[in-house]
Parts: sequence; C-alpha cells; structure tokens
Amino acid sequence: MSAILSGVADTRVGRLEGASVLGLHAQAARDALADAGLCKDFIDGLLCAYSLAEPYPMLSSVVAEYLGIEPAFATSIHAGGASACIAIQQAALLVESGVCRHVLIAMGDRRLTGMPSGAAVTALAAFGHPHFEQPHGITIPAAYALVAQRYMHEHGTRLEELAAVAVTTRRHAGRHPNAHLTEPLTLDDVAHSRVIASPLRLLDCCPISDGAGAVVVSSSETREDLRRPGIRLLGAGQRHTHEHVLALPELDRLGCGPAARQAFERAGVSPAEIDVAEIYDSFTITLIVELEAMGFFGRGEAGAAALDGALELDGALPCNTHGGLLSFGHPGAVGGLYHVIEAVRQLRGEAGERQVPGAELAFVHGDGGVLSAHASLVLGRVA
Amino acid sequence: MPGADPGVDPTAAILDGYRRGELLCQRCEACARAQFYPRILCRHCGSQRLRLEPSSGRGTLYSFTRVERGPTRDWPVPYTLALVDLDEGFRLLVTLEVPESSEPAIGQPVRIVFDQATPRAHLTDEV
Repeated sequence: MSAILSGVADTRVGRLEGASVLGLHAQAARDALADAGLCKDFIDGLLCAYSLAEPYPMLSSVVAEYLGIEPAFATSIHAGGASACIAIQQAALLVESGVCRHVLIAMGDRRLTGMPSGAAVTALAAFGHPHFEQPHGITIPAAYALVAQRYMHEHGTRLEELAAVAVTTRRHAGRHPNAHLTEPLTLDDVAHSRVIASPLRLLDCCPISDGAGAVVVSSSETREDLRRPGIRLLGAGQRHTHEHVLALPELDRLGCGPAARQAFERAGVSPAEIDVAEIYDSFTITLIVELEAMGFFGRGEAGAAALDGALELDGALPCNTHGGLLSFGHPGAVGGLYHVIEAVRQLRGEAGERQVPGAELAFVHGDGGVLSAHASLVLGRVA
Repeated sequence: MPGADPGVDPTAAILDGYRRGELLCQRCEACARAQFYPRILCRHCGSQRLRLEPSSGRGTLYSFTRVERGPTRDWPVPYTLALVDLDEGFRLLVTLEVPESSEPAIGQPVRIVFDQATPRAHLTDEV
C-alpha cells in the first residue's frame, strides 16, 4: 500500500524578523502534526535539509533535540531544490518498508532577515566549482542564464514567454495568505525589471525569503489514527546527471525527463491526466525547460502556452497555484516542500480561492543545483 | 591488501599550466575521450590511464550571459560569462571579452587567452 501524506503546514513566507531557524522548523512541525492529528511521540522518522543562516552540521539531530523526539531514523538531505521531493520519497520508502510509521519532514531557513544583505547570494555562489567556476564569478542566476540563453537559441522561447510565467505565478500568489510577493505584475513590469544576468531580469528570478514548512508521511496501516484521509504517493522518480553548469548535459538529456517518466510509469498515469502541477521554478526558464522535458508541452511550446494562459487556474495545466518559488517565496530547501504542500491542499479541496475544481491527480517536481538533481512525485486522493 | 593510492590530484597540474599560460585537458588512453575538469579516473569509461594534453585554445561559444550582479557586492560588473566547447572535445566556463558595441553569438568561434594566470575567451573571426 502506498504512503500517505497525512499532515502539512507552512509558516508565513517573506520577512520573519526575530524568528530563529529552529523556531520556524518547530512551528511548522507542530502545525503539521496537528494537521495530521498526531502528537509528536508518534514520530519515529525525521528528515531535514540544511540552513545557510544557521548552518548546523547535523541539522536533523538538532531539530530532534529542539522538538524533544527520539526518531529511529533521521538524516539531512542535501540536494538543493530537489531535497523536498527526495525527502518525500525517502519517507515513503521508510513507511512502506515498515521501518517507520510516521516520518516528519521539516525544512526552513532565514535567508532574508537572518543573514546580512547579499550574504545569501554569496553563499549560494559556493554551489559553483571552487577552482573552475567560482574564480570567474559564477552565481546561480548566471548559471541559469547560461541555460536560458542556450535554450532560447535551440527552442525559440521568447523573453515575453518567460515573463508570462512570472505574471501567472504572481497572480496565483495573490490568492495565498502566506505568500511573500503578492503585488500583481504585468508583462511590462517583468520586461523593465533590471537585468541580473542576461537574458534573466529580476522578475525572472525568485526572491530570497524566510520561512519553514513540514509534512508528515504515514504508513497506510495507520490511517485509522489520522484526522482525515491522507493523500497518496502514487509514483516517484529521480535522476541525477551532474552538479556544475560546466558539466551540463545536452538540453535534451536533462534529468527531469527520466525522473518524471519514472514517476508517471510507477503511478500508471500520463502527463495529460494531471489536474494540477507544482513544479520547481527558481527562475522562469527553469519551469519552461521542465514542462517541455517532462512531456506536459511539446518542445518550444511551453512558453507560448504560458502566454496563452495555460498555467492559470482555468488553463490546461494549472501550475504553481500557490505562487511557486517565484512569488510564494524561496527560503531554501523548503521552497520545494511548499510545492508538495500546495499539491496536498489542492487534492484535499482546501486551496480556497486557488482551488482547481475536482483536482484528483497532482504532479510535483523538485530541481537541485543547475538542473542537476531531479525528483518527481505523482500524488492522488485516497479512494 | 594496501589501499590504492590515487596519487597527486591532477587539479594542481592544470592550475600550474594556467600560471604558464597553457591550457591543458586530460585525454583518456583507454577510450580516447577528453575530460575537464581533471579527475583521478576517466568519467566516461572509468580508466585511470589518463594523460595531460595541451589544448589549441580554439573552440566555439556554447552559451554566454552578461552578468550585472556578481557573487559579492564589490565584484566588478558587468562581465560576460561563457561556456566554451574546445576543439579537443571538452568544455570550459570562462569570462568572455566582448568588444564595445559587439554582441556575441552562440556558435561563434572563440580562442582562449591567458590573463594573469586566468583563461579568458576572446571572440575570433577565424573559422
């Protein structure tokens, strides 16, 4: 029987002055447990990620200490934006094999108010190769800009199409009470925002935020204990090809394709059956590349579809309905967990003004590094 | 049985080459493919029979970006980063010298030039 996502919670995302990274982890954890209807003593597995603002070497152990739990399995996952989807997969394996009954996934960071201005950008540049990228001034936006420039050359994607992704995700965020950025955007706003690394402009890039989130993954054997029917993990996939942009594979060989195919195959569904998609969007280009590689749109067609409203709530593929990283916010590894949380809320029918009517199947994708590490999930309602 | 010793990491030899103004890559003697950055084994076939080979420094522009915001606040901007495919079959990330009122084009020929022990790409008209 497949694992159940039994509880979810997010904090407000944006400027969280005075909070602590551990306090944010604990608040999200507490709320996710309450959402599941479990007290913390039921947690026998713990998965965390990492924090730049408060870099503990053994974060999962520190979180266990803070929460007062003694899990039988605990570790931290370091896979950038793929960490959250990988954590869901790890948790599912733990409960499906009987090693754990309830796994708590908790992630969070304070990259906006918990670090000096600019420090997060500098720390993130350390994802570049120390000898062969960092000395030349690599940054994460520059790495994705190199991908964007090449992708646009090969597929004909236009700047206006990238801007459409930013406009749509901002519109979605406007309907979410916890989102970091909610001011509506126009295509012109994106076009006139300052260039960070050509062709990417400021509004093609996600913000830096504070925030935390948590998900409880439970064994299907425990469903009698849970507050509500959970959401099932129907299929999962991963593919890892490289880390640094200097080792980027050809654009038609990125790992998102195989990761998604594996998830669809295991779930026994096709991309066309997905009702709502929450897909990693560190930059507008990231979403376009992934949508095409994973089979939601044909090569060179996702951008035009975005411009045409395909990603809106009433479009062919409602996407990043919480506002994505681009507008809901990006504190770090938890950014990918917010995509999972939104998918769960959509399938439960709890997405309020953002609700995709009758959503039964959701697809979630996380991307770490520079399109380096990919993890895909297919989620569905419990029958 | 004693553990295998990978020997001195080949990164040092590459960086020494930079200081001499020489671009080197690794060539695998088992599968004949080139690789960069250097490793203690071939990332294609796994062999440890690797040798260093000088590169002509000629290649083509795979992609580029004009960076307006560097990794630190005081990093001088703007600068252009490029991914360059060298003729020997390996790829480098370097800065690209872009002359005034000139716009690089993907696929354009470039050559690597050393400036203070750092490789940089220059646009070239040579085919």
